[in-house]
Amino acid sequence: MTTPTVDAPVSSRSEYEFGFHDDVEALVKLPKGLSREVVNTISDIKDEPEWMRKLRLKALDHFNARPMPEWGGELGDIDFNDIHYYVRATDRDESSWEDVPDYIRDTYDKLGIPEAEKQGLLAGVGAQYDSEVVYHNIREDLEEKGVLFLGTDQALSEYPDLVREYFTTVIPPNDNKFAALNTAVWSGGSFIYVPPGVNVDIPLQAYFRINSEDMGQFERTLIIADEGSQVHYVEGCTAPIYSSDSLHSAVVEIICKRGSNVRYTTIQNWSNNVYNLVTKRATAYQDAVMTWVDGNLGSKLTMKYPAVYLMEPGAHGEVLSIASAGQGQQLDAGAKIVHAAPNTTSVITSKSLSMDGGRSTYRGLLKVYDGADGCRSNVRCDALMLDEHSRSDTYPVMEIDEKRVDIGHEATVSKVGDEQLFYLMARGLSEGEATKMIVNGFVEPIIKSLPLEYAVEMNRLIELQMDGAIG
Amino acid sequence: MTQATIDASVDSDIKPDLLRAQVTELSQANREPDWLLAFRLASLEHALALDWWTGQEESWRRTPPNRLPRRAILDHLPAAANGAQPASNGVKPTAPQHVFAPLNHAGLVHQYGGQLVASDLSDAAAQCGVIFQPLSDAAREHPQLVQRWLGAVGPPLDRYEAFGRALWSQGAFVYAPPGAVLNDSLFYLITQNAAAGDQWHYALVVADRESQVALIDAGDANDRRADLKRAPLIHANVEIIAEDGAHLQFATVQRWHRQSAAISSTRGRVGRDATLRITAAAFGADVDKQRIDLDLSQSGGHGEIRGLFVGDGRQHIEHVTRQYHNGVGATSDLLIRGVLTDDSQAVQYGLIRITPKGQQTNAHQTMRNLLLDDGAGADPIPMLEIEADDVKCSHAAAVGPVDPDQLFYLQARGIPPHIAERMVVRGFLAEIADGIPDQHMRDVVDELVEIQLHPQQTTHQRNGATA
Repeated sequence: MTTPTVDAPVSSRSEYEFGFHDDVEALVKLPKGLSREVVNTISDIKDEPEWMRKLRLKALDHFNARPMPEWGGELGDIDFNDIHYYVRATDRDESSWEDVPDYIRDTYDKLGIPEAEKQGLLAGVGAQYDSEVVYHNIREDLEEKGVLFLGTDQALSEYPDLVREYFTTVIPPNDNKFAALNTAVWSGGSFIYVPPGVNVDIPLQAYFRINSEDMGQFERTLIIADEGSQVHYVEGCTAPIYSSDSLHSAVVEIICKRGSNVRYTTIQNWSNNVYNLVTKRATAYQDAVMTWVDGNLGSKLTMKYPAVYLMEPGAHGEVLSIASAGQGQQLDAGAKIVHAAPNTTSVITSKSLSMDGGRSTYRGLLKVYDGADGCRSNVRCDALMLDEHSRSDTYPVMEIDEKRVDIGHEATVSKVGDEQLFYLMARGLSEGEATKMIVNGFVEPIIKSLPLEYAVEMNRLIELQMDGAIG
Repeated sequence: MTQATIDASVDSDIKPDLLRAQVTELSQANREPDWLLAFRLASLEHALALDWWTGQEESWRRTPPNRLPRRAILDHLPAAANGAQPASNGVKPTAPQHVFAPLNHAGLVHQYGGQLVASDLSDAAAQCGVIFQPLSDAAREHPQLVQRWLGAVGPPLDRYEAFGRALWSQGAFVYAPPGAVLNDSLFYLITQNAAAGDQWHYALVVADRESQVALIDAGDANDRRADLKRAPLIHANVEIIAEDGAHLQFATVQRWHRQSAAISSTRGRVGRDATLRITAAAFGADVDKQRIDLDLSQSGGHGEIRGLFVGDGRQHIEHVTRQYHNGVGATSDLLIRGVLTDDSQAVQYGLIRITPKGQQTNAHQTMRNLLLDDGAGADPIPMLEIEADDVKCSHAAAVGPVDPDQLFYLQARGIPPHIAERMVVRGFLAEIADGIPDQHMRDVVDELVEIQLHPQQTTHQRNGATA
């Protein structure tokens, strides 16, 4: 077989350690470009039910009809005809790590995926390589309790009725241009169903990897937490560094039924040539708790605003967001909370860092419908600027149509304080070390909500980025 | 959220040649100098080259499109003919009593339906060389000053502002020479002739170096109860220049006819170590959309924007603000407080923009909305765009009912609920009203707040009626 090669570093993020790629001929690689034919071919390869094919084609029409968004980042450089919409490296979704093709396994070994599983830190692992899920495994005891954790394609063939019942119910195909694109060409992603009352006590994890050049990855994740259940899902993303840009446009739909508790954690560390345009949305019913933990470090441009729709009384939504933008990066991240029922509560906490000419943006929506009385919401966004070349923006939108509510928003933008630096340097730390320590303290409220190993990883990634920026 | 798109065919109704002829006629009837006619015509061309808002733009998508008459430009034509009569044509018409008529003042200009009905300048003001007169008179008598400053705040920010520079039929010019200090305020009173249709105002306010001056711009309507066949547009461009070291206070208060659509653009340029405070209080109109823009491009400048409003019925009150920091060490502060009753709606779309040149900026914004009735709503949107690292910047926004703890505290001392609520609301607004430079004016504003709050209604009735 082939051996993985490591590319020479391209950007200032010379520390980007996942920049290697595997030189390998894909089993199936559709020609570049988007058409009904491509969509039909993807559907044929997957041998899907007819309703899914129709849905894909309808979504393609929506995609073609909709104009490009004119806000957020510069999207004009994306050439939709210069992208491979489907690339398959292997023909099986394995449940034994030894059966995964060597070169793919090597990739994930480098990323440390099986280690975590071996050590029993994870309840289940999924891995997606280009368009297809290559590996899925779940602890036996959970499987016995009826927890489903598998690739969305596999779920569609094994549990078609369950998928059909929930698919596109949270994010309709015509929600936005990129959700339409995803619905038309989606492939891979995770499907999770947790039966009533089942508590998945340690995280399920998925790892997404783009390997091919000019590739579009369009995974589709659907999580259904039945009444009183509990689950934590973690996803990580990396890609090699190529000279041309890749597109990642995922859709994640989550349904939190009564009394359930779902936490979705993302550590996004795409290389700096990936457009990351993702729609993530959850609906939370009575007394359910939905939490998005969203860490954005990589990508050229990210536009991602995880949303929680609070549908019934007592539901709680929370978004914890970190964005750290370095050279050549624009991270347009944020959160949306919609209070559609009385006595619902929400918290948004956002911390963003801008360094080395990077631009980080908080863009948020807080909506309270008329009749949703007794809602409480608190939005807090802080930004730290590490140098004078960078940029920080805050666009919080609040739409409040109900009077019996308690809504507050606060934001600050500042630089690393001279007194703080002086204090630490007087104790013998170098300026670089002192700055890192202050940044660690700044993001701490969010880091501490991550599982331990991710907290360590996140801090390490921010430090790596700062090494490039402040020397 | 309203996402209606606008009929694009409206523009085809605009007849450029007719407008050009109309503007020329207007300018000549006012006996304006040639350069002013040229300024109007250039502004008209600028306006014609721009597009109307479509309702899709971020700063327009929350504005109810059907209640802002975009066709108003066309209906302007008869109104222009009315306003075209020169102010000095002999007999002055008498205006109805103006709600904001001052007790003490350093100067006064009162216009009614486009005509000057009263003007006055105190000896003290005259001795310091202060100029305060209708804009077209000033253009004739002080051409070098007016020409130097007219439009000096920069190109128009939108099509309304551009049309306003071309079509204005009434306006005022204020000039305080270097070092001039006035203790009392200048009053620019406008009485809207509700039946006469659209009005276009243009005010130019210049405080030269080290001067200290306060201007109160107050709008009232002649017959607030008249049932108008069509909603009149009230447009105002206000350009404010605070030169180096000047201290300038500008307060605008309006109680237009309740069917009016009020659109204004108030732009302030703050010089080195100068201070400019803009206070805006809104009571009248059906839709009031105010753009307030502070340009802080000189070091040490300080700008403030203070907004106060009380909405009732179906009123829509919108502030679009910008604190533009393009110079070192300038400071600015925005504070908007509003009270919304019935089905009224408020939008605050505020931006702090700091360019890479704006190091050592200190800029803040706070928006607070009290909702007193179930139908009321508010969309505060405080935005930051920051490209300099050595800055202190913050914003805060809040929406909610009257604090129940405060009500309880007052009621525990024997104060009936409806009075307790009014006390809390007046206290809430007082911080803004205190920024108005004239005591009598503050009293009038306080009174208008009371009237607008429906004092005959108690909290219980209000809650009971809507529960």
